[in-house]
Amino acid sequence: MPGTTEYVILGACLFALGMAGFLARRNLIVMFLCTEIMFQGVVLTVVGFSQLWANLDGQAYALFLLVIAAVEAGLALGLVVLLYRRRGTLDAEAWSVMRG
Amino acid sequence: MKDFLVTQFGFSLVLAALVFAVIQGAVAYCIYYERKIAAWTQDRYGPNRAGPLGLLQPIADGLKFVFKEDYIPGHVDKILFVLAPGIMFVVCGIGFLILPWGGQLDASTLPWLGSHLQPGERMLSVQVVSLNVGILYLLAVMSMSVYGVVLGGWSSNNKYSFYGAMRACAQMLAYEIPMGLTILVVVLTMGTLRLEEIAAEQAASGVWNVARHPLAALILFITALAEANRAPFDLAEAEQELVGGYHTEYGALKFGLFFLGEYASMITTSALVVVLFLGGWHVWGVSALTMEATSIWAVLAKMTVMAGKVAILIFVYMWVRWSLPRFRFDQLMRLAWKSLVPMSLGLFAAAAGLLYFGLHRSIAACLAVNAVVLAGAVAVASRGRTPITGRQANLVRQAARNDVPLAEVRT
Amino acid sequence: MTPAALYTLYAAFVLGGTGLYFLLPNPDRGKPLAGAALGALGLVALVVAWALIGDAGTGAAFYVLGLVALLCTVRVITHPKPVYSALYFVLTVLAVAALCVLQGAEFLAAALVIIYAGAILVTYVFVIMLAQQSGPSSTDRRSREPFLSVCAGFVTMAVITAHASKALESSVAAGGTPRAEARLASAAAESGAPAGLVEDEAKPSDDGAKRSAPKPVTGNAMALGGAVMTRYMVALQLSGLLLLIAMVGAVAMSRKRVPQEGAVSPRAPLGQAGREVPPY
Repeated sequence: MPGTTEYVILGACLFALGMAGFLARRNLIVMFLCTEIMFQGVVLTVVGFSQLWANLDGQAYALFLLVIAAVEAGLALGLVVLLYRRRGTLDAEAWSVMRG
Repeated sequence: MKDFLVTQFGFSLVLAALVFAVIQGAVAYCIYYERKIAAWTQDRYGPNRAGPLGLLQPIADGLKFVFKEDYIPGHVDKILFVLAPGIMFVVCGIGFLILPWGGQLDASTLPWLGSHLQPGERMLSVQVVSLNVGILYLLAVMSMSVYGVVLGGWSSNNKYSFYGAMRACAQMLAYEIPMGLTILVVVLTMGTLRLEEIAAEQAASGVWNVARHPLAALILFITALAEANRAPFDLAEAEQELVGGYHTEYGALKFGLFFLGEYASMITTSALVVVLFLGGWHVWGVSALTMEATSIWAVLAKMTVMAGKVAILIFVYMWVRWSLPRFRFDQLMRLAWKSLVPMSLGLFAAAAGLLYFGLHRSIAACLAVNAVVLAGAVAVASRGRTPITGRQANLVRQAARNDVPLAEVRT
Repeated sequence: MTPAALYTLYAAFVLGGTGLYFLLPNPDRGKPLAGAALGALGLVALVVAWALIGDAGTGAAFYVLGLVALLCTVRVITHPKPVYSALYFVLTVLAVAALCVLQGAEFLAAALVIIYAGAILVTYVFVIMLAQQSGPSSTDRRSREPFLSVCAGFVTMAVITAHASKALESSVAAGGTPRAEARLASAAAESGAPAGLVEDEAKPSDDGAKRSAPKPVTGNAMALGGAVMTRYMVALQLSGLLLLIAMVGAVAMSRKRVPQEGAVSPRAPLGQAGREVPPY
């Protein structure tokens, strides 16, 4: 059977890449895309574990992750559009007024 | 080799190639069909020069697409500009893989190929792939087709194309929801996600799903029109407003691929409606068109019936196109979100309720539920004071406030 | 996991991380060939590490799909044009869905494609196109603290991997072999679930031969539905509630008209910065 270890490693890679991208990119939309990548990593991991333990708990978690991702996308994109209308840019740096 | 062709895998390969080729040919003749129907609607002759009755016209059209210069404008995003028609073509071309074309085939009745087999020894299903998640595959594929339109419009770097792309994007997102919900109504009724089982069940019981859920069938047909980007939902390519919509900048073969994609998705969506609601390959009273008839001739008859039903639905598509004016965009969105989504949600909830009480196969109960949902929709719509076209809402309110007749406010 | 595999894995992470640092958008550099080379080396090392871990039967499909997923992800976070980022992410989603199919999670794969690629990402593309019609801006050409973010990401990865490998090994040691075939019976017995719940899971996903054979109706979708509607009923209700809240929130947010403010806007009148318009 396909190895769980490999899936976990691949999931960790996706998660870490998403995290690095979230921290490094300045475009708000790309930052949210990066959080979606992190979700993908988690999905791979839980699906791998689901296969390891031969039950469907992991897949059920992944389904709920999809719900969270949809919620997050809806709200985040609404916020991004609001922010864009206010400042006319997608740059996250435009909102660093709180920086000391 | 001979034995490989009568295994399911080899048979699926052959069937995939066959159906793909037939659909490509059918697409070319769909265009001819459409032009003839348009001419009939408008009391003209239609194409009648190339060959008898103009039958060679599609070939001439196809050759024209192939031999024109494949021009890429200078201001476009080249990669996506080339990729978009490809996406459209591939996505629309792989949807049919899941469709059941003719029930089961007894391999021993195949001439020459199955001569060494005993009758009933090997049954093949006349379907390229039979997936556990069946219809979800088709939904997934159809949800990908929006990328072709959107990328084509965006990469053209032209504001008309861009508006077309934005419209297509919003439209596809909106109409996917009622489409999914009405499909789920059928899934609840039939208790399976597999299209071949849905078709077989209708053939076995002799009751097509349209008899149970006519409203759901109508909603599915409307959303299928919208998903295939057909009139009256072809806002993405509204010539009068947007030049050519998302394919304004396209020409030659790439435009031809968009065209092929549109007609192929028409065929796929109408085949979906046929399988879900119109009994697939089944017709009453013909012994060749039952589950038990598995000889090659029965299968061919079933495929012919299925193709005939698809052709009838495509005729309805074209009839609608040449009869109805195009929606305005706000009307389109209102139709999706304020009427189709609530109605299909109601149908879905009702189907779940029927399933709970074990009445999901009862025609009378299903029809009653449909009637209730329709009556509710009509009641809500007639209680609204504003005209159904929407934009004059302010005028109506103004007329009510100032106590003058509406006609005076309009002038 | 053998030490050799673990060290190869860490080498892969270091190589890949360094490559990623050079690949992140930076207008002061030319084409990041060195970064691409390092990243490719990192991927090769990753494949070697996978091969060294070597669960039998992982198969070529896993390697191909895994590499596609990784490469596309790297392009998502390094591409200077957001539209291309979103499109590469579509490819990532498709690869992940295919990987789910390899693990027997067919329903999840279909749901991923329909929800992610078909709805969420279309919305993203929609917003990107609305907000950014004129080529890449400076926002996308320069990244913020690339070194620190790459470090953070790859330290996270190393920690996860180390812990996960340890946890996997200890679970294997404790419970014998928790592989699907071995655990099949006990899992069904423990959870008290009907046998159909694990029926489809247990089969290794071979291709071709099984694909078209008539299967029993209880597939992955039905089993998963059973699990979600029984054991996870409360979570299901809660997620419905969450979706409702999000919908109300999104509608409430987007109905509000916001005045455009700030000197960042190109339409702000000249000479007013610092008086009516805050200087940013």
